Amino acid sequence: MKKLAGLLLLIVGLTLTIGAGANFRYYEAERSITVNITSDDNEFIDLTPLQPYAYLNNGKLTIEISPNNPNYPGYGDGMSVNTIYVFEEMFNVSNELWENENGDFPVCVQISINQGDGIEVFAGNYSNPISGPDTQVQFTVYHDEPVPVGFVFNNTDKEMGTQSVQMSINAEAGACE
Amino acid sequence: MEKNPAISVMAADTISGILLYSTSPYAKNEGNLTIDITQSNPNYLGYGDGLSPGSVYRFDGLLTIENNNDFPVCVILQSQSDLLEFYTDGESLPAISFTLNANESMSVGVEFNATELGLMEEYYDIHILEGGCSETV
Repeated sequence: MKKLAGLLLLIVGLTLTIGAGANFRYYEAERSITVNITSDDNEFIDLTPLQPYAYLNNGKLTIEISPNNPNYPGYGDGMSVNTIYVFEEMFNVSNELWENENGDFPVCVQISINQGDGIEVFAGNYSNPISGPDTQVQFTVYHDEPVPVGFVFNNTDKEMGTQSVQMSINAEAGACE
Repeated sequence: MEKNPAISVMAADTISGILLYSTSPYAKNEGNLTIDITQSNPNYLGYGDGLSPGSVYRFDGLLTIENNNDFPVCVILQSQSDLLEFYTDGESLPAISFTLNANESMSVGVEFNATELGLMEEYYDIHILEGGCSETV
C-alpha cells in the first residue's frame, strides 16, 4: 500500500513537471472565412443603376446604350456620330460598410476611364458637379448619402458601330483629401 | 508592429498562448474566430450584403495576432484559397510569415478577390513555430 502511494506520488510529480515545462514546438490551426458575393447594388461599395441605360449583368454594373440592353424598349438605338450626350445620375455610389455603425466611416471613391475614349464622368449634377467631368473623378461617400454619377459621351469624329470601354472604380477608407 | 493595443476585443481565439482576434464587425466568435461577411453575422446591419463579383476588397488589420508567450514565435498564415490573400504592408500574398517576440502583436490585412455570385467559403491555416522565423520560411 505504501509502495503504491509512493508510485502515485511519483506519477503526479512527473505530470506536474511536464505540465510546467512543456512549451510547444509547432502548432497548426485552421480558420474559416465566409463571404457572400452579391450583386453590385447590394455590396459594401454599392453601385445602383438609376437610368435604364445602366443595368446589372451577372451582378456587375453595365452601362449599355444599345438594343442589347435588357431595358431596350424597341426604339432609340443609340447615339449618332458628332453628337455630345450628357446623362445625369446614371448610377449611384453608396457606402454600405458595416463600420458605419460606430460613427462616420466615409470612403474616397475614384472612377477612371481611359483617356481618348470620348467618355467622361462627373459626380453630382452636371451644372454643379462635385467632381469632373473628367476621365478621372474622385469624391467622398458617406453612409446614407449616395452620390450620383453622370456621363458625358462625346461622339465627335467617332466611327459608326459599337464601342466598348472599361470603367474602374476604386474606394479607399477615409474622406478624400 | 505594435505592443498590446488598448482596444476592445470583439472576437478572439487563443491557440497555445497566441491570441488571434479581430475588432472588425466582419468577425464573429463561433467557438473560434470566424470572418463572416454574410447576413448571418450578428453584426449585420441590414445593408451591405457582401462583396460583388469582379471586385477586389482589402480589409486592413482584419486579423490581429498577439504572442502572449514569454518566448518568440514564428507565425505563418497560409491561404487555402485563390480568392484570399494576406498582407501586412503593400503586397498581398497567399502566405505570409512574421516573427512575434514575447507580447508583440501584428495586424494582418485580408484581400478578397471575388469572382462569381454566391457564397464563398474559404479556409486558411495558422502555423505557429517556437522561435523566430528563419529567413528560409
